[in-house]
Amino acid sequence: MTSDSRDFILSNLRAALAANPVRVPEARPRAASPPWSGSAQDLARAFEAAGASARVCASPQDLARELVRVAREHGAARAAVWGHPAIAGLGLDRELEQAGVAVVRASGGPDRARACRPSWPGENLSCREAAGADLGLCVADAVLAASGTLVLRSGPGRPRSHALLPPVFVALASPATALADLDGLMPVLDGWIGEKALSGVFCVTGPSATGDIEFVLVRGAHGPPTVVVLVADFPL
Amino acid sequence: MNGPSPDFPSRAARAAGDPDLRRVMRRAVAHLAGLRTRALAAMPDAEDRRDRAAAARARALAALPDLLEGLTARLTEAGATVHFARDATEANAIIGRLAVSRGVRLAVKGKSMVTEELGLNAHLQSLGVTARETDLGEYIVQLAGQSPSHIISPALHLSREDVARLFEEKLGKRGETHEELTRLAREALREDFLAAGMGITGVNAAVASAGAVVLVENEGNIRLSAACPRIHVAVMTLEKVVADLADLADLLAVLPPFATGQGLPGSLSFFLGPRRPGEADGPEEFHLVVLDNGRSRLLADPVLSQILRCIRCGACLNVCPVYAAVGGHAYAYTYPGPIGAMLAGALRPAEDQGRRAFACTLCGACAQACPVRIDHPAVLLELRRRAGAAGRSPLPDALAAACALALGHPLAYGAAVSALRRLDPGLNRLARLPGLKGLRTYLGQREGTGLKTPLEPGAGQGRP
Repeated sequence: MTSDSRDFILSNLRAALAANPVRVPEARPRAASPPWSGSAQDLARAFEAAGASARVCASPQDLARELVRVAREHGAARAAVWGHPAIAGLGLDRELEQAGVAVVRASGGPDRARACRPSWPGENLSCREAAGADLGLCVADAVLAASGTLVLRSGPGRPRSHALLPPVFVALASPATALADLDGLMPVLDGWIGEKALSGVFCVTGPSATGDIEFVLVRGAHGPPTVVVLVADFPL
Repeated sequence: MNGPSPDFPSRAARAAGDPDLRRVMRRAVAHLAGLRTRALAAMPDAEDRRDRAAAARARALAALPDLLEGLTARLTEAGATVHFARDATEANAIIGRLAVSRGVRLAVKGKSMVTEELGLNAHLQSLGVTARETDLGEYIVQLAGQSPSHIISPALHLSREDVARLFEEKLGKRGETHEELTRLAREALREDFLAAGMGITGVNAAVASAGAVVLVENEGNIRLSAACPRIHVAVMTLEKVVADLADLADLLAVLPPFATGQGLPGSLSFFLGPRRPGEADGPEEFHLVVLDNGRSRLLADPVLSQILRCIRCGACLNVCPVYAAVGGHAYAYTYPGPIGAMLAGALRPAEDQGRRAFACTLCGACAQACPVRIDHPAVLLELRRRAGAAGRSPLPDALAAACALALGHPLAYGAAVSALRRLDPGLNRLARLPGLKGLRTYLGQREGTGLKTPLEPGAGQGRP
């Protein structure tokens, strides 16, 4: 029984610490993360430095045009799109459809599971749909300026797979959500987690990559080889 | 369970005499060490970061049972299930039962040294569950029927040509370039991510105050393993917990730079339990398995407990001259290099018998490289002392006493070295002794010392 094992292990640990208390060494405290006061262009440069492509969009129309251009540039016939107020508010899913891109909208609710093989649990339909898409469109909840990192929260209408399975991952980012660095994210994360409705937070820095064969860097190991960030220089 | 094998000395001797392996290892560790060196050069506060990381680890160890209880409470509140396992047998049984009872036939795995320690893949296979490694390096060594040779880069001992031959043999597909080979693996594993009933990962850190399981990666396979399958099982050794997000930040300030030379990894993920109502993907079940396997006993040891600070960055491997000479497989244990020598001696002393602790030059490069300030030489010397006290020294008592006398007294040391140089001025005749093939290979590759015998003309001038 793991509860017996739990008691056994915790009891061992308490006895160990009673016999050998751990000394905590001194350390200089970390400097507080500074507030970020850069521009959309600064963010775009940070994303580019991380290996993504970034475009600053001055208006909703500009952003919609850029999104369609990205879809055409990469020959996207099908897009997996988050059900996010910013995407709906800008009509981006309609823009894609008008450009001839079929849109798979994230659906909440239980899987419509279908068994691939009789003895296996059914696969996740949302993941299967994302795997068949050429482009995934999500919205970053925060961005880290120092590293060009996109911070994504999972949730209803925000499947994890949309930023993972399509070969092109497009993220909308706003300077209004920019934090200086990872240290600055921690108090924000504390607040999000305190809401208790969160299953995951994912900090994505650049495209998927690997150096596992002779340390030669190759993009697109399992996640997307291409990341495009559309930086909205207007309220999202 | 994979304990330290007794044939480490013979495997090390064979590896040391393999010039191809030596060449590959030299290039590999130089590359990894170079990544870290460049990252640290760009980090003016590197020493402060190491101090903070060491303090964060010490804080965690000092409150370990309370933190584990806090972590358990928060994850349970979020709908996860936390299992405690005393040993590998129990951990394997927990995961195996989960897989079988849920009808899982295929599990996809992120890179996890603790599951190597468990021998989990073989256990699952015995239950009819295929465990497919998805990290590219792990996938390659799994196809090759080998074990990982490095904590961070499991296939660093294999060349592109080796991988191309392997993929042609096992996948029936030919690739030449690094890009083509990576694409072949991506295509081969894509359906597995979608079809698997279970995703199994390790844990880089677990944050007690947040109820968060934290993982770092670059490929995206860990996030996929936790997005598509219905069940996510995360396995961690009990010391991986940290108190709060501030302490996590201290660890993340050193882990990516010291491991791969990065500021941040490609993906840094916080897993907070199963999917919430209304979510379309993510696991329906989230399980955390907390493994002891001898570590709670280690916490009581005044010298060895510091091993539990380790964050598995691999930095000690990349600077170790012994690891560079013999590679990871020679260690014949889940964990190679200096961390492997410490864990083998501390967790499995009867099986290890101090062998790996004695395979150390005591140069101290590992301690200098360690981001959490583990004093590797002190630990290894203590393991040697204990092995000697238990009658397991590799040297006969008389020879060990003679070495101790020579090394402990400057006059005796000087006399011994002078005598040796009289017999062998270039310090290379020793290599002709039988049974020292590895030493012969090493000496054949190094430059001459330029040493002169003490009474030769020119002695004492120029190079020492």
